[in-house]
Amino acid sequence: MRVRYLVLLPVLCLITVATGCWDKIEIDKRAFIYTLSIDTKAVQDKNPEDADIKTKSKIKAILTIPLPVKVAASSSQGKSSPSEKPYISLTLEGRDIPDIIKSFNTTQSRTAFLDHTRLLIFGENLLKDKEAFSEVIDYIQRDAHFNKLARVAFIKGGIDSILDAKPEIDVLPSTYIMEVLDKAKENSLFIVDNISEMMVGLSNEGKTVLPCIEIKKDRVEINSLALIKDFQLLGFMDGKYMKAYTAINNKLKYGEKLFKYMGVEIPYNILSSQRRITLINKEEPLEYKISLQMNGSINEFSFRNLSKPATIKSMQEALDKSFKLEFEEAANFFQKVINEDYIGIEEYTRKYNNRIYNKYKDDWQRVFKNAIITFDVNTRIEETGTLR
Amino acid sequence: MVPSDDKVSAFQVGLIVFSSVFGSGIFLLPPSAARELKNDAWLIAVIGGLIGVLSVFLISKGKKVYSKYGLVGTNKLLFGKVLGTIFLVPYLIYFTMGGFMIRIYGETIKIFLLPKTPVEMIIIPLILLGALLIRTGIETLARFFEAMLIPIILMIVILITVVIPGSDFSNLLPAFTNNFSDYLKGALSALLVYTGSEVLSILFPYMRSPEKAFKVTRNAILLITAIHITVVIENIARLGPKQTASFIYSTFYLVKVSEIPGAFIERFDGIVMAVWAISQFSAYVSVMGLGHIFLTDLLNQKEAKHMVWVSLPPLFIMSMLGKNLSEVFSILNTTIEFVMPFTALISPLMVLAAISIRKKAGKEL
Repeated sequence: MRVRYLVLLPVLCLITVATGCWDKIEIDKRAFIYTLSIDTKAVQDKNPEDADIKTKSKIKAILTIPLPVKVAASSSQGKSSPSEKPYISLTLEGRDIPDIIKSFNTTQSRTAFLDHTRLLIFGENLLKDKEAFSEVIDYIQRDAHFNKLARVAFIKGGIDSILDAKPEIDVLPSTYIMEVLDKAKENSLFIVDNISEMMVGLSNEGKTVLPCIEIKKDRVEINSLALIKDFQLLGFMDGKYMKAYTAINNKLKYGEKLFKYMGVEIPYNILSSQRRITLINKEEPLEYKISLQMNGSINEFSFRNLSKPATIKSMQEALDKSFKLEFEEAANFFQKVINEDYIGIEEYTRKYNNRIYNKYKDDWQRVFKNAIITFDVNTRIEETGTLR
Repeated sequence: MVPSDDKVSAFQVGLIVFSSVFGSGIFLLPPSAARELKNDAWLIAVIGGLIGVLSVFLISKGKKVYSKYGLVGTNKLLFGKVLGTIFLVPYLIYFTMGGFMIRIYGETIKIFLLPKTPVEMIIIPLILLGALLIRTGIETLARFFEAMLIPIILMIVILITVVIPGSDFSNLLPAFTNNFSDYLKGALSALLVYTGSEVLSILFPYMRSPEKAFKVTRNAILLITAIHITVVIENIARLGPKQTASFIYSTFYLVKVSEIPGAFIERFDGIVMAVWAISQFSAYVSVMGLGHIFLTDLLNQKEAKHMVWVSLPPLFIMSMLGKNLSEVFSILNTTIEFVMPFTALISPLMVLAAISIRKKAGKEL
């Protein structure tokens, strides 16, 4: 019995002592990086050993860190005074993101903490530099702690302009940007809104589309989408195609469509939509029919009577035509202008007509460009409000 | 020698096999299956499940002999002392894999929770904690698994429900487009996840009702298969085959990026991580618990408890093999591909063949 205790006692002591956490960092010693804005800066490499590499992209990042005490004070007062900003924005440069984090940790009294990062913004130079962008993405993906649910966006005009955003209601510029992104997402102006969703597109299809923010006179605006292919900026999609793009990709949940009826511009509120693709002609040029079912409501009609089924029917027909035109323009933009399939035709063919896809996959860009895409839109007006 | 009070019920037998096989399967299977069969990854779970059921079926067929002599005794009786012992070497290798299991546990904890803590400091307390549990006997081990069952089920329920929103099940298409050789390779990779059914051959002398062994262990394997199929499908549906394949533990990532709209808990990865730790520890103590019974029998020892402490230093050395997780997985995969077909299928078949020959020859068993 004594021998048993002699064995057990050191074991229990060792278990108690050895399970100590070596990674302990007190919460007040952490700097919560709320927004991470990343861009590249082309620099001349002066190191003669690297003479073969004349220029090397260098990562530049703006780290926005809220100051909890000041945030609480600002929230209670309603708005922060210009002299007492409830956050700090630090601009740092480094070889890569870990280098920037290291630079932060060695020059600041807090340890950078990325688990709760809420917003990730990419600059234009970064997205034009395939190598730098793929390195950044690899780091974000590889790091077990980086919050993969952080919102992601592209900023026009360089990441420095993020410092120009002046929120009127929100305490932090980051929350202001996130709110604007949220509202745009609610209106189905874009599909991808966090790192995880961006990674699904980049990993599986090699493509993704990011919301493009612009700071104009202190205000945040989203007027276009950045098209990314193989870790590089391919181009921009104008705001006028946004709704069609989300609808054709079967992701349109809410939105508004203005259409002309009897000389009046009427807003049609989209409440749901469903898309179905069918391959009609399996020989070149491939012919696809995209059927879209749009459901929604009419909330204003200048006090005219909306109780007659014939009126509703003719309105629906007007909407069908208007939607069809909008979708055809969007498809034409991707086929002829961008010449890249962002509307899911390749994905559909690969999944549902795999043999045909295998036949054309090596030359898909040309096949997509020449494909005939027709739209069959069926709009339903389900509600007309409380007036007749 | 089996203590008369150290017996387990049929349900507990099922639970021990469940714990041995389950381990980290739901975290490791999706990426390895996606690498092999892409959209058809879920088929690997089916193939693995079938292999598991076949294994417990073959082992259960020899229940009378295993119950009487144990695994070591049966091999020595049927094949002679020398040949029988040689046939037990793959089992010995199999049980040393407990070291790799604890290493994977330590490395995973290091990646996700304790990046600065030396892996030895994570492994040593767990080895000691496991030893304390194992030395108390097989029944206590079974009771530990009973206690852990509810948290593990809770983890599975959370995991399956939180990841459903945002799934695109069309990612499973195109189906059945791989070559036959890919499916064969997939079956080999399934072995890694379905190792553990072999413990049944050691359990027989400890069973109160050996006749129920096949039924309960088959159910355990089928339950694991169903869970694996669901988790693999969800991984592919949410992340797509290419992204799933790019991870070591895609399911952790999947839970990390899942949120239920309107739920008051924003992130579920902490809960899943905590229960995963229990699940992996259960698999480790199960394999090690039965491994030390095997070692006791192999070395012809009467008392089993002191063997626990004897096995700790080699276990720790095994857990330190491999410089990083990639090397550990490489060693583990190679070992399993070599050992598992023998311990799970060939050895039980050989035992059945030898029993049949002895019966025909009129020799008693």
